[in-house]
Amino acid sequence: MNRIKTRRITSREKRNLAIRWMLYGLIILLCFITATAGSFRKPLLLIPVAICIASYAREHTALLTGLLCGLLLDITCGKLLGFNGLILMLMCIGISLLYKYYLTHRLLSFLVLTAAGAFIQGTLDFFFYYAIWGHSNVSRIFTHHTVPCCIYTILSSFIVYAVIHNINRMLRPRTIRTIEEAVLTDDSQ
Amino acid sequence: MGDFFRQHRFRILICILALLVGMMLYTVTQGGYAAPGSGLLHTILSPFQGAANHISEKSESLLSSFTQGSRYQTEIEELKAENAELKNELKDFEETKQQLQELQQFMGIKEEHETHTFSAPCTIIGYVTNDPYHSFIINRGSEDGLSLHDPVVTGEGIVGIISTLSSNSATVQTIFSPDLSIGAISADNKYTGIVEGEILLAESYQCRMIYLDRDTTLTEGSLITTSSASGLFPKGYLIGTVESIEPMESGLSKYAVITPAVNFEAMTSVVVITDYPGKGEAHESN
Repeated sequence: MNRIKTRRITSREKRNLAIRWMLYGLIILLCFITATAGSFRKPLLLIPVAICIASYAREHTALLTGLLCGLLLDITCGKLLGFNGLILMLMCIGISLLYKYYLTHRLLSFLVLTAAGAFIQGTLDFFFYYAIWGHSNVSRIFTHHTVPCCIYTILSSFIVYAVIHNINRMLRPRTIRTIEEAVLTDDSQ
Repeated sequence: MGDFFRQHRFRILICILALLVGMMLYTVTQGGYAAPGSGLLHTILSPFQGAANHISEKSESLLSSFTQGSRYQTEIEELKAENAELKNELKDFEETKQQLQELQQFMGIKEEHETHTFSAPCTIIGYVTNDPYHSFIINRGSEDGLSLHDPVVTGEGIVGIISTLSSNSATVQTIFSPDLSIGAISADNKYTGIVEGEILLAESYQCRMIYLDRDTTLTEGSLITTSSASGLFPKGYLIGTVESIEPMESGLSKYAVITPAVNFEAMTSVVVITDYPGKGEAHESN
């Protein structure tokens, strides 16, 4: 079967790709370090970061990003290594596929996905780490820890979106949607 | 989207999933010992974590001084530059004094409990994210002689136990956790019970002593210390003071609300009791 010949990646695009992933790495590292700083309640920044990177990435890249962010989240939250890794990995693959086939990059869709992701992670965490052990007043953990944490995560996702969206806007090759755009881009190069 | 499930990548995904589940099972079988990868990561990142935590603490104290109103503001205006300088010097002095006091307290517990072996002072490098029981991470691990379930104390009293251990760091589970039960006795040796955490009390940095008789005469202000009943803690370490006596949910016994002797919000370093007479007896008997 004949395959469609793709355009060669220029050195500039290669450099931009490297810078983009270095910045992603830096953001992930920063989120990991700040997560253990201070005893106050804080958003789980690694969730919106993983979701946002996955929305711009292919499935296998999304898989690795979700896995990395999830494992880091396990370390900061003191959970069984792999618990959040599994959740975020599956979440990121799903998000990557959703963006590939159905969604476009809009703030609202990102917020909805982050809210869903934070809520799923929070609920699973609450169920497996608190609810099933049958301690008294366990619902208090959900109302006073899980829900506020989800809200903080959703609120923080505005900043995460702004940062990662701008990184992509500056460093990612522009998506060509029409033949006219493709011709114009080719001419300009 | 259906294409994805027929692709080679989907098989890779299944393999990674299986690997991840395997890793989780491996971690479970380690019974608290951190997986090799996470230990290495902690070792690499602990200086960054420590720095971030230090910045966070400084910002918190700065923020609280702003939020505490105009009184401080007018005072600062009156004192001007010279006083600000003196204040900075005083702050440094206070910090050094606090460190000295902590070290003196550590020396005190060493003198008090000669048969016990203590680790070097451990600095708190971070907190477990959003943990309702205030668990935290210290900068020493198995390479410093620490082992799993070792008691953690300060000069003021008990703090908790080591719940997760890696080579250069450890996570401390505090006395606010309902998963930790400590044998306790009142200072007058009249009443015994079990000190454990409770979700509502953990919010206000308190815990409770359960299994008290309904006709207990334990009063507010009584001191509670560890007994060696649970085997987790050596005898004679201060837990806290009784705040109030309440009936248990079942109505069959009472519990005492305890305010810990240790100020968890201001705590910056701890020591670990690495060895003591009777250590591990409870584990062995189980």
